[in-house]
Amino acid sequence: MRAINVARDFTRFPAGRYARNGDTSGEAFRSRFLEEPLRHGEAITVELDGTIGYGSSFLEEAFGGLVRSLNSQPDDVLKLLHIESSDQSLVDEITQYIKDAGAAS
Amino acid sequence: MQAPQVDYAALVVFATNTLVIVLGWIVVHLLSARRDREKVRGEMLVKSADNICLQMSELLLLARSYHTTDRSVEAEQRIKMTIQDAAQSVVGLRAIAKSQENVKKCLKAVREVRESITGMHFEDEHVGPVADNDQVLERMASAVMRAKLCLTNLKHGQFA
Repeated sequence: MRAINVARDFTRFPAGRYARNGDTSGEAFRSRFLEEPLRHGEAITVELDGTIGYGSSFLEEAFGGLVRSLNSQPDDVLKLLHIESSDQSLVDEITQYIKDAGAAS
Repeated sequence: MQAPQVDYAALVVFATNTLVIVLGWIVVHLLSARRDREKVRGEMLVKSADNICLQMSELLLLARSYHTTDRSVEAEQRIKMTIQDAAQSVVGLRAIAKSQENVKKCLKAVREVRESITGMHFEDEHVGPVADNDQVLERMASAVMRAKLCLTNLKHGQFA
């Protein structure tokens, strides 16, 4: 299983929703680290600790956006994606975004 | 010369009394230590919950100022750090709170605060100040109030 630590591998300052507005955005993170492995059925662990904090728009675009960009079912994404954080509220929020993205599509 | 006679009955009474006194002292000591620990735990929880409530109030003011003025990257970072600190403080309460259910509710409330402040009109989606009666501001205020209520319930739950 591939492990991605956001602070180490991406940035300590995640910010923004769309890639056109910055390379530390949720969309940039998703396209750089998540889409390709998940498209090939590879399981990923994302470690969230170590950044200065997350905005919900970043989280929604990075993780909820996965369901939209891969055109897949939330359950399939949740099977392959493992989120780790000392703050359980972040894990719950991301899970909810993935489910909501499935319901909206 | 005749050796002194040992009064075994008196000896047994003395030993029994001594044992009862020592056991009594141990029990009192243990109960007292437990009471002191409970007192410190309760005080620590109340202090932490009060601090998080203060953080929430400051966060609301900061977020309100951020959304009603031109975009500030510095304010965005302060907002995200404050929310993260508050969430970590609530996570820390798990170790000392009597009711884990109340801690879960508080953590959910902090999540709602984060969503209300940073879910819309935040960072690259901040395209200019919002009006004083904008829905974003209403949602933030409600979420912060709910979080503070959760923290108050957590505090009072210690004495139930």
